[in-house]
Amino acid sequence: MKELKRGIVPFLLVMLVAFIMTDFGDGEIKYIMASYESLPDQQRNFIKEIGPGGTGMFQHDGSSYAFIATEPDEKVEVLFVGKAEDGVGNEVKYKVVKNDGADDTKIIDGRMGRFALYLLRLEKVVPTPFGFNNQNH
Amino acid sequence: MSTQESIKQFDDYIKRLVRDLHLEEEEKREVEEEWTQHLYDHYSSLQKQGLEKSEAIQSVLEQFGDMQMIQTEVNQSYPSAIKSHIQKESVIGVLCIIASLIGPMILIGAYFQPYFISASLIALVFAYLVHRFIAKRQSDWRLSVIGLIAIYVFFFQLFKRMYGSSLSLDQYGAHLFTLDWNRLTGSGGLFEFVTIHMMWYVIIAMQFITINNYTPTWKRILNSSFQYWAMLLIGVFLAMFQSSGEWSVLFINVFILYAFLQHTISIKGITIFSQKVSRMFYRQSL
Repeated sequence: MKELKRGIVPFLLVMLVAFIMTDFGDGEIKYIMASYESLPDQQRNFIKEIGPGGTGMFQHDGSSYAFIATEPDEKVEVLFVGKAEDGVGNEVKYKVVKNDGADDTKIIDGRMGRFALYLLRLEKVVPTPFGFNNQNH
Repeated sequence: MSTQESIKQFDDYIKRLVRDLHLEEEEKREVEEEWTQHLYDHYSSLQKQGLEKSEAIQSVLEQFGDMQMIQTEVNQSYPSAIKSHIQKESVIGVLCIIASLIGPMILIGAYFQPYFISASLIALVFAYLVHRFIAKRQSDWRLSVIGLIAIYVFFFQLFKRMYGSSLSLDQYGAHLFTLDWNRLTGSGGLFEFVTIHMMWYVIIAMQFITINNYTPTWKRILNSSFQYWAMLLIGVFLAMFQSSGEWSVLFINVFILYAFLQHTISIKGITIFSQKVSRMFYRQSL
């Protein structure tokens, strides 16, 4: 009984953390494709810093934006945006495939080369850590 | 103990006696149990000899000895709990820092970054506080069972998310045990499903090796398992609040290693090791 009394508060604390961490849904975050032109110069310049294969994120106007740069003849298929596999933070799961020309993509002249841009606007501000999980690898 | 009558004088005496001993909580509990048993055994034998209850109690307490003298003797003969505590935490801390320094270099070929040290130090402080004031404080086996199940559900969910709907029982089984070193570490360091299980098995094995006459092995297995998995859970939770992925990985790894070492390193072992090392140096200097 003494041990039970002594252990109940730490136990409840651990259970609270377990409850918060346990995923009662799939942890998915909704998103829409955003347009590069709608961004202010500061964000555009930030995106231009990268090249093909680059990824990044930023906050703007009450939302988080995630972007993926591919070779100009490639496109991105987003598989999932939400809780990361390792439980730490969130991530975008995606695949890079050849663009057969049917999809119009925004081509940017970046500092590290020309690239096709895939810009996602997430439904909310998502804190770091935020990962980019390329399923081709 | 449960079948015999409780004698208030004995319980009070032992409580006051144990309170001022410089021992860890667990050691105090062990000493308390042993001495209480001794008092009651002595009391029963005196009663069998025909002594009155009050007379027997008085006699037992007198023969047990002067409280202050016993406390002084015990405090002198046992190494100071604070000293032992600092020794153990220092060894674990140094090992965690070394692992944080060389781990990223070995596993992902990273060059040294100052945050390898700063992130690990911060994580160590958190790990110490969580272990001392949360995980270790819970030592009731019933709560351990419930807690273990709840925590394992969370980790199983994590694992399942990695496989999506294609996770089969065979795949799950394959991630419960391995002796292949390459599978024990990944880009996330030690935070691999199979690795945290292998460490758990070592902790369980340690409970069979450790000599402790007062707490049954199965209870120690349950409690140490809960404490280990609780540390992992809180480590993952705290990693969510780190500013970058690299900090998160270091945070989790320090928590895993810290939790593992807490259950596998003993002060007795450290003392024997340091004595052997000092003897070796002494021989070489002759």
